[in-house]
Amino acid sequence: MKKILVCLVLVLGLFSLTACNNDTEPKEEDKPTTVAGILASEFKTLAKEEKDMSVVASKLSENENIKIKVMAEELTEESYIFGFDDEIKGFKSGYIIAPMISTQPFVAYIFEVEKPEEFLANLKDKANLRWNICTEADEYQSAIVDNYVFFVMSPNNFDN
Amino acid sequence: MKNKKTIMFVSSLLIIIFHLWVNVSKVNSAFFNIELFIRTICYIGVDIFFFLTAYSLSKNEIKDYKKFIISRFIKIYLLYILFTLIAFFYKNWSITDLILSITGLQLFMKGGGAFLWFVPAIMIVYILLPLYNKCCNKKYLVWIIWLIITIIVSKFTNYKEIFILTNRIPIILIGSYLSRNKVLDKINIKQYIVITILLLIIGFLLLYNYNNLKCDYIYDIKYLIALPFTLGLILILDLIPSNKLVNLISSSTLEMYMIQMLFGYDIANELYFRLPIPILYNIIIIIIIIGISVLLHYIYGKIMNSKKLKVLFS
Repeated sequence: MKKILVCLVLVLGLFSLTACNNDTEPKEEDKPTTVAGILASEFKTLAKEEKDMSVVASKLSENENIKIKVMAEELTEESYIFGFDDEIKGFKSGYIIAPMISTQPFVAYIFEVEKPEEFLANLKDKANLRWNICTEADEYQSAIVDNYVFFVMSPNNFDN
Repeated sequence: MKNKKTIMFVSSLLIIIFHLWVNVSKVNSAFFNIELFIRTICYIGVDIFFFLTAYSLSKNEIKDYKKFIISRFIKIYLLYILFTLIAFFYKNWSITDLILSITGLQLFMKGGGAFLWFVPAIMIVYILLPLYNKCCNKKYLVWIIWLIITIIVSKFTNYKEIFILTNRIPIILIGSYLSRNKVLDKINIKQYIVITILLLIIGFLLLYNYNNLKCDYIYDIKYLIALPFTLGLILILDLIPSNKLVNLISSSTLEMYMIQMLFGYDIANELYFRLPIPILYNIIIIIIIIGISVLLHYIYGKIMNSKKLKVLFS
């Protein structure tokens, strides 16, 4: 009985050692696999290096995972912002990355705001993945870098 | 309906525009919002088809119901099954997707996101409307039942997928009523024009101001808001005589819908990569879709009219 208990304690100890592994390298399963996830991740990288959001928007629109023709344009508060159940206001400047054929369920935005967390919460609350009648985005993803909010709604991939 | 072909032709164009149009104006230009609004409301092409179906079905009593349903199945649903099979291979569907699509069950699960949702939806209309016309004595009760169920499902459930069909019940019932009571034959041309203009003006104002209205009690209320304008558009189009080209294209509207939904985005994306000039792209994509559809309609018609198949289906 004592031997069994000792063995059990040793095994549990081994398990706890593996749990405390401080390996900080991202594992394969942590890397984004969907288009939205990939773009959100790329935004974080680009926005830290480049302060001109028009360049960031342009580079994001050229991402190879977006297999449809998209445009990157500057937004104003008077611009029609689709993908949400209500009007989106309260941003200083913004960019939209949208498909040329607008019923394809993809849209991405970069907003410059004063309170990014609050603005993002508002976007998430109003987001409607089925803003087109016949098609539906699979998910939305978002990212914040400084005062910039990135929000994207997209199919998981464009294969189908 | 004196000029049904004209109405069908325009409605099918509206649907292509809704799905595949590329905005000609720039995002921040004055015309962008107008162009986007017009493209957004082009879904009413579907409402027009529901109206025309109801109007045609309600003109005369269907004597042999079983024969009628079989003929609809052969003419419409067989082609739908063929396209579903093509989609299975072309889009790498699962067997589940295939079965759900062929059976029409995907309509109830995905609503407008279902593959060619309109076909199972219109088959439901073909099955139920003749029975409604023949057997239902207190037809106003159907309106009341529809409204009660719509409010209950909108308010108390998260099930929204079916509203793309059930919110078209009013326009179907209106089409049926106008046809059964020969309302359009009873009004003179002056009354017709006044009604048409009023419907268009009021309908446009409603659509422009309330197309994005959210209502807790009726989900996707935009289909009801679009009713007056849709009816006005039907009435004004019915004044325009068709010609040979319009007749030819309007006979291929089913194929136009199927082609654009299965191959439309792929053709459109390839075309736009090669021809990124919106106005040219828009004209050419419409021509391509119509051209392929007319050809398919001709080939399918030849096959279905062949003697062997006629014997098989008789």
